[in-house]
Amino acid sequence: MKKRSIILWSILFLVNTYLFSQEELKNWELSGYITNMQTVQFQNIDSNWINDNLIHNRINFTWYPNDKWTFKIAMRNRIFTGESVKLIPGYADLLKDADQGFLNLNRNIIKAQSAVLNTTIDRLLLQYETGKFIATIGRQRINWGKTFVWNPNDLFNAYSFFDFDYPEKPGSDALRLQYYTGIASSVELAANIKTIKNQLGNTEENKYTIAALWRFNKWEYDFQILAGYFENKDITLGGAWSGSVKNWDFKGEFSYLYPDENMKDTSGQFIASIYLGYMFPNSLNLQFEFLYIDIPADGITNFYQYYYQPLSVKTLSFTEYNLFSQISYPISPLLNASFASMYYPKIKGYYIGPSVDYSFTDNLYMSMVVQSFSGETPNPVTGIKERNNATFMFLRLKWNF
Amino acid sequence: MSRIFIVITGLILFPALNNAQNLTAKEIMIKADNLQRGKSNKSQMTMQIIRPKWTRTISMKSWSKGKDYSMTYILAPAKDKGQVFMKRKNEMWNWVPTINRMIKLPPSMMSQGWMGSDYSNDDILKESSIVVDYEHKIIGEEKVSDLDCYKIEMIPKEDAAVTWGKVIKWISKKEYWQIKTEYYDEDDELIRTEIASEIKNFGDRRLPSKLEIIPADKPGHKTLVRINSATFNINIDENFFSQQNMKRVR
Repeated sequence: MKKRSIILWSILFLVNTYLFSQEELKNWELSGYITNMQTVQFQNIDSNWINDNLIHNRINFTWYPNDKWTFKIAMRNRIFTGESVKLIPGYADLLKDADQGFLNLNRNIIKAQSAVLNTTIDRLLLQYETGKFIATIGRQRINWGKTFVWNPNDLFNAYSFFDFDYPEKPGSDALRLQYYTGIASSVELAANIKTIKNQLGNTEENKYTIAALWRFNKWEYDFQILAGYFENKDITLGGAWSGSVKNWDFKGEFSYLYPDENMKDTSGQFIASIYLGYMFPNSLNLQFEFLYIDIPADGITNFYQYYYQPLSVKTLSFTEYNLFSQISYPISPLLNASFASMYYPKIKGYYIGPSVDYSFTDNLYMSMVVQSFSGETPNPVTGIKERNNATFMFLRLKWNF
Repeated sequence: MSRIFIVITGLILFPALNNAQNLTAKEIMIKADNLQRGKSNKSQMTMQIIRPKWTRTISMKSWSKGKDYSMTYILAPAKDKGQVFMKRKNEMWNWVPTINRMIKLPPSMMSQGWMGSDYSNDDILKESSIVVDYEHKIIGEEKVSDLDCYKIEMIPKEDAAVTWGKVIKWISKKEYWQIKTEYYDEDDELIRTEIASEIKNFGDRRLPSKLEIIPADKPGHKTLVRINSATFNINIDENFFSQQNMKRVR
């Protein structure tokens, strides 16, 4: 009897350990979300309102076959319906153009008059890690940015701050080699190919970037220095820091790009951002950022282009001086409110963006976001400056899994 | 210098103090602290934020070594899963895997409520030490949850990064469990109370597995921390706490 119960207990113990270790060693992960977002946009409150709806599903899958290898794939499936789809010619093609990947991983599965179902794979990578060395190949996000809004160091996959519904941000088809030289220091080399597409004109252009980055930690600051060759054209030097002054969060980035063809003339482009942040004991959070960017003669000057166009570090903004501030406060652990604003002195322009996030359950969230812009830009026909306004209002329900 | 000296003295004295009578307040605190943390540990815990009308759950895994090094991996909620927080001495980082970014956190983040709970980053990342950062005094002996306890008053040292004005701890005489703690602000007003219960086996030691954190004058509010598993004095190198490893742990 006694023997039997010992055996029984041993089995139970083994099963238990087995289940526990299964839990511990599960070699894959699946996550993602589903959102439903309603959008309204108008130029002025009494002008035409445009209504759109987006159902958006994201799936992330990671597989760890062993200690050294990692495979990752992530996709976003989006169903667009509404007036923009109907009114904007080639809406579905524009969605494909927005994907600047070299690999063709973007499909319009349904392309109807008032609806588009678009599927994009924005991560597809294989990673090998041994000791202090990591190699990653495929579509990945190489995030070299430090500051909050504008990232002059983000050579591989610049993004638009306004695209709040895409927190993961686009990936880049690249090879990245990293070597950790210490606890908070590393050297890395990355190269990517970007394909600028134009479905309407049926043109494609490949752009190559290669850059090296050195990170190190000194005086309780993280620093980085980078050098590279940007999009077939510009020799690039840059750097960034991240640390604190008293209790303020203090970060900054700068890059200097100049075309290798005419090194003698002064057509270089300087881009720099500085960030300050402070969190009060009651969790009230203040954030400020300043961006300076040299605007090339052929650069974008029109706000709409800036809002919609996939950015590169060279087009972080359409005006030289940009100021950003944001105040956010968790009214309760469930309800967070924030108010962002930007100021563009050159075009007497501003952006205001109030938003509210509410948690219904552990995994279900609602967000209300307003983005309102105003500025004086030249009329494309007459060249006379006139004030342009645009307002977007979003209501989003998001379920994470 | 003096900090290191105190810790080292404490560690050396620790074995010799077993069964000794008439311990000083500091010696009791060293024993309680060593029991709770070990030289290093790995644990998994769940935290529930409880309010009159709702609850939210966060669960995490963490590794720590001494008071200078810790790493925390968020398991739930789904929205934050995979985020990692690391502390090395005075520096703190946050790895956000969804956007592939390493964010250096400023010191002002330290005293923030941990993801909306009554716990602060300081509590999670163990910035201050109950041994080193306070002057201790035994102010009585009381029974709490049926256990005979020392009642110890702790006053933060002037140079310590502690937000409290005063802390009172009840430590069980036999086992050195931190059964109850009261935190006071600088005006001597009670801010929160912590009550430990549900003793369980964790490898080589028995410890309370449940901690209730109850803010004063907020009826119906509390945060419940449950230790699901814990291993102490694990073989963990200081180099474990690196930016590279932040991206690897899970």
